[in-house]
Amino acid sequence: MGFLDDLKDDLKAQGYPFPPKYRVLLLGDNVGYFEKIVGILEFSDQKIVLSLKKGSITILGQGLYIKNFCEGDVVVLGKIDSVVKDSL
Amino acid sequence: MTEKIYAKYKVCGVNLLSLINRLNKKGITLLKIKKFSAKSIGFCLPINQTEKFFAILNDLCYNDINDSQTNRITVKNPKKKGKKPKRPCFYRHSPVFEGGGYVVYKIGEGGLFYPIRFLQNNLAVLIGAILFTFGVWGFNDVVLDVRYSGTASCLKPQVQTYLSQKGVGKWSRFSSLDLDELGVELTSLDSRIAFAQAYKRGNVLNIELVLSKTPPNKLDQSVVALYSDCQGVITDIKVYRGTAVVSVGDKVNARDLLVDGYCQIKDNITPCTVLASVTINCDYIKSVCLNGQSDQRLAELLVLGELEDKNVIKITTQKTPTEKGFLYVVHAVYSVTVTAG
Repeated sequence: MGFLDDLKDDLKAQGYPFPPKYRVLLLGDNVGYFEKIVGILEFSDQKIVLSLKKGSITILGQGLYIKNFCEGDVVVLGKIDSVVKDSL
Repeated sequence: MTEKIYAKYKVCGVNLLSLINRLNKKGITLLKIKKFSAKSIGFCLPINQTEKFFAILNDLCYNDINDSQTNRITVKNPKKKGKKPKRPCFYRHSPVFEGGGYVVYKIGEGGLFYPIRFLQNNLAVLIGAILFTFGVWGFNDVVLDVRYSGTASCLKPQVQTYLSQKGVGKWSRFSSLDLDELGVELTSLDSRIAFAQAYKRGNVLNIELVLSKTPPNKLDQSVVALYSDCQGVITDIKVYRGTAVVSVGDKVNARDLLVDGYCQIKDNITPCTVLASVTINCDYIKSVCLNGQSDQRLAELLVLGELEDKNVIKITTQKTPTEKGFLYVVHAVYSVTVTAG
């Protein structure tokens, strides 16, 4: 059994929803991979705000741009300083 | 393959994020989204989705605030003629689409397979590239120049003569040459050449000649005069030491004095040894009687056989019919070089 399956069981046991409503994967400081994104609320070199079904994700950094935006998946490249989940 | 080719677009207008979100909802893959300014954004699309992209743009309605004081919003149908969005005049590309509140510029294409698509669309470039490649490949075999280098390049005339006898020169082909063998042959051409190498660099045949460190044979210091050893006409005189007593065009007989062993400096006459070479063109006439009417070449060959060790310059034949056959009078001219020193 893999690590993710263990985690899935733990989350279910603790009452957390699985699969999660969104997923964020940061690869170092320069790549951010976001799943289940509904749209883009704000977009600039320093700030990108991605909207979820409930809430939004704010990415702050420098020289940010969206490498790929397809079927709810977003790849953000640039110097990522912070990723913040905002609840609506 | 078309997924790996994308078109780059720049979109100008208001509410660009709404356009991006709408395109995403419609299943359009957007790549490399970059914001240029508040009202312009750039992105790439897979080339197979461009048609869909423009179809979506065509169906867009946009909200236009006509009156800023009342903030009254009017929904316009894009099929009807409306106010055209302001187009930035500085941009060098002409727009590919205008409408729905957006101006779309195509700023290029790219992707992994873009070169293939480019060649498909520009066959002339492909043909030109192929012709160029074959041209370069074919032309690479041609000798455009022969360059000499090294300490023994002073022997260039001798080497040049040898190469021209072998048919090596401008416009000859590298494929017909064995450069290693040519180097060996050039080394053995003259005792003063210690080492010779022929190599190709581009379209140039480079010949490197290295002079032998061992000194050449010592000059003969005992020669005090140069005499002719045959009868003929002088065609060339080279006197390095001594004084020539004949000139070019003079007729000389065997044992005639050609170069005398003295040097005159102003009024002083100083005896010296002779270092000179004189070339004399000599005549050789032979009559050959042959039966055949077309045996002229045979008669010439007979004479050439007799003058095998001579440098024959010219050969002419006169044919006279006789009772027994034909009399061929062959007149050959050959050059003899007499040297001293």
